[in-house]
Amino acid sequence: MSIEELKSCIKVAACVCGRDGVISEAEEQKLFQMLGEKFTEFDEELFESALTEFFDSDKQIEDYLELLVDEDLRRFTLLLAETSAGADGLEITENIALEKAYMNYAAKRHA
Amino acid sequence: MPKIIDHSPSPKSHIKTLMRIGYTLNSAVADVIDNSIAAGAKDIEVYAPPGMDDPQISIIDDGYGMDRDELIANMRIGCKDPDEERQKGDLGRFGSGMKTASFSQARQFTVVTRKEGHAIVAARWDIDKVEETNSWCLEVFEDDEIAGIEGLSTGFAQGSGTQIIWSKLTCLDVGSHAQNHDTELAACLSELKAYIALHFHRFMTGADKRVFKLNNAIIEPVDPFMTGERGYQEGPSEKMRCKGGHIVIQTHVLPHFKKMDPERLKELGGAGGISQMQGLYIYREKRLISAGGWLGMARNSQLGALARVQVDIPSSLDNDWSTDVKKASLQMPPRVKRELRKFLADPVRRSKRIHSYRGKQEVANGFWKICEDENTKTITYQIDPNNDLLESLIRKCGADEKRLLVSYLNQLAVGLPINHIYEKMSERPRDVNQKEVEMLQLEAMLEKVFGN
Repeated sequence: MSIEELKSCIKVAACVCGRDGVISEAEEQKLFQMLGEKFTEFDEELFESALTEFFDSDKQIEDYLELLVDEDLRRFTLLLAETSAGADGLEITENIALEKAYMNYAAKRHA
Repeated sequence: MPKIIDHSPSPKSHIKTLMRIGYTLNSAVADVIDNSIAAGAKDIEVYAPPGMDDPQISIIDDGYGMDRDELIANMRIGCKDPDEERQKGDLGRFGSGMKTASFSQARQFTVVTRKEGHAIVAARWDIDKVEETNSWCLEVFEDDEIAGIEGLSTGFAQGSGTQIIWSKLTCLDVGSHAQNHDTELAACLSELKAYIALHFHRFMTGADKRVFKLNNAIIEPVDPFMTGERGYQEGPSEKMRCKGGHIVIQTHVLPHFKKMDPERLKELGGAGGISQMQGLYIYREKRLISAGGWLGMARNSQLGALARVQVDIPSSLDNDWSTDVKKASLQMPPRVKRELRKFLADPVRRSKRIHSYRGKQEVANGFWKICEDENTKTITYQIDPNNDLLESLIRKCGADEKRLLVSYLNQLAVGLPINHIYEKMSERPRDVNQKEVEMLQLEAMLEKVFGN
């Protein structure tokens, strides 16, 4: 998997968690933990750079979603977004963003 | 297609608007100090010499300074786009602070500055001239004219720096018949010192500390959380990632008034001041911009007096937080408000616990009985009948004396000056000392009635 794909995966989750402009410590910790467990190429530098790019960009969740084509990666991205956003309770706006991501991939929630 | 015509505001009227933008002397000086910090100054001094017929206030720093072109560009009102991203640590916002802050306090302000390797340069805005000519007529000094500027600091002989001189002050009520300039100035400077000590306290300590002075005297920092004091409690914290950095929330509980160092207590306005200043302390790039109050998220209460929540925000969030020109007000984004609410309960609960603990200690005495009736929701302070001294006294009394004594004790409990105690315990808890109760008058009265 390319670094750009991994970054897009992080950015999709960031779009859900950071719906109101901030990502909480609990959400960030969960993101970091899940990504570290899943990808050997993942490290802190890549995480920081992906989040900085995310906050500096005006792109929408759909822009990041379409960069991911691999089915497994898509499934993991949805799981990552849902689990990390739920780390401190899933807010209404976060839930809407998550629904949008599932619909975009025509995936069933909790499947 | 409609015709476009130039319809710029009249300088004469517009400058009057700028003069009334709502700065206080304290917030205006603080805004100029923000520029000094952004310019890398390590030494910042507010200088207002007494004894002048036309008093002046100067803010002098040893920052990078400006060359002639930079000075002229910076004297323009709104010289920076507020949407432009600021460098980390840059306390500016609209590029209007120095000018609007100065116009709000003085009818004339002069900027004298020197950049390393460049000549000293100076420029002046004079509201009288703007009004007279009805034009934005900036005065730029020739080299040989600078030495003649009244109030010019001697520190420009070496290195770089900037001096802002406010003359024809409007911030002093010089027309008042009761006070002279010096008395008025001294009162303002005393308040200003306290304001700088609190609002810039985090720039006065640590590895990157700056020296702040007021009329040559160093200003010592005032830590609103009393972190170094005995009895201070640090509470939970949270770090939220956002555009350009992190929002950091840290909760604090101050020590009980009785444990506070009297000097520290005085610096924070005494017990009354501490109680009033409970709440959120919002820092933008380490500079305090909102001190106390719960921004509608909680209510001030006597028991929550010791609770403080520190919130650090980066300047990259100015638009989201709607920071104004004076950087004195802001609106919190809903998500941050939600996160903050989770943290408010902890310091308030612990503050209540500190007061309740001391309250419980005082209940444990054999003379007063505190009755809390859950049904009627009333609390009464009554004489404790189960007191050995009282029992032995009553045993020695006859029936009439017993009735008299009970009636007196009842009146004593009813007449307990609760409101006075509450007021004094809120304002000056350290001064209330029941161990020093004087018995002399009572003894003298007994002697008079019963003789030896």
